[in-house]
Amino acid sequence: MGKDVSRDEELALLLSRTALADAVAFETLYRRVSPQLFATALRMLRRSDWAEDVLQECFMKIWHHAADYAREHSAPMTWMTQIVRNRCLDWLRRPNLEQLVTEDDDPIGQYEDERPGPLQQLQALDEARALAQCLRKLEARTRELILLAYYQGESHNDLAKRLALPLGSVKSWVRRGLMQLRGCLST
Amino acid sequence: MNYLRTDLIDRLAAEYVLGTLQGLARKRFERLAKEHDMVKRYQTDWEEKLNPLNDCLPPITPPARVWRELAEKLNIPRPEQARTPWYRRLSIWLTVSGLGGALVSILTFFLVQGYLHDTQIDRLPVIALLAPQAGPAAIQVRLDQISGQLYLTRIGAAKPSTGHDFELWALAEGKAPISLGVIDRTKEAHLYLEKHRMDQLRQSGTLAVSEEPLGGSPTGLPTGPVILTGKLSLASI
Repeated sequence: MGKDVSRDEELALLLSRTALADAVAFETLYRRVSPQLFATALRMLRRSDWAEDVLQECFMKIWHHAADYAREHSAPMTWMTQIVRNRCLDWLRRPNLEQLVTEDDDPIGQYEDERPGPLQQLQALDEARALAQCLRKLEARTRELILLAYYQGESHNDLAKRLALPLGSVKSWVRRGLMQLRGCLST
Repeated sequence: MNYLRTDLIDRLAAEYVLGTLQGLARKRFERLAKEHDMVKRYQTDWEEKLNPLNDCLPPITPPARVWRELAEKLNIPRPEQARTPWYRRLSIWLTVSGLGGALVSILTFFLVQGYLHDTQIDRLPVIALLAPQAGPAAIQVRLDQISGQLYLTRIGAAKPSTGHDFELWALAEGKAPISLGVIDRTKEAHLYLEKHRMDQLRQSGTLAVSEEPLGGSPTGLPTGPVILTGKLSLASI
């Protein structure tokens, strides 16, 4: 996959400066990546105040743990995104989570009316074309389950309830879908 | 170790990254990934595979308060304080304290150094003059294409009311306004634009300033009244 190497290099450098407590590098890093990370958090949590809290916590973590970033394991953006996604998943599974907002109050819904869906946008990114094509090859229902799980952090149970499907079927569709993706992406 | 069968690890890693691996199983997987490089490799492999799903989301600039609070919690100094050279601070102090005339002329040498920075900004093309519906322009907008910085200079009296901030928007016909950021209350403010924001700016025809709650619009779209507008002069970018 054709990655944006110079951007990765720049972000890796900013992370290594951040590890040395360089506040200017950290602020630059924040300016560069916070819009993308905020979009991820907002998409998963669907509430701006929660997404702001999570974003703040994640940047505190990045400030304190930038030294743990290992270039050979993953791209800088992937590493930071994973911190955000994990925190969002924890957040969504808090035992006494307030009721989620309805779709009507969806803070990102209003951005999306005139925008193409994620699959179309994937198609537009060179490096993502392979993933988009492989997702398209999945059965429609399986694709829906995988995208809902990824973008909204839904559990097997949530998915079964939302789509009125038996839990066992949801589990095996998700599992099979992931393995089909793996097969498709490695060809 | 039986648990480390690769197809099982691969499946667990996939579900971990997707988010459907939960509770104790999730914790167990995290522990395994810490202890075994091979497990970690499967995990990062899936992270990279699925990450384009995040890359393709349209970026949304978080409200300015997120950084402000973060900098406060981590004890990071405000950039204005950290970066303002002493002779500029002195010039402000002189104005404030009303010491004029002779003293100022003695210090002209130092002040000139302070102006050098402004002169560099002065060389950048003005891409818009923002004015209220009736009245003279209040903010001049310059663009440094190379660094992606917008420089906003207050040349008029427009100020946000107490408890509010000004936020800058790019408007393109038939599209939702795009936030370019919250404008600092200082005379000279600057905003950093990501590359895609720069592209969006190029496709816009107008800039607008609205009055928003402190830290910027909570919804990502203008919520308060539009105070200033100005046509973008695209010829200069």
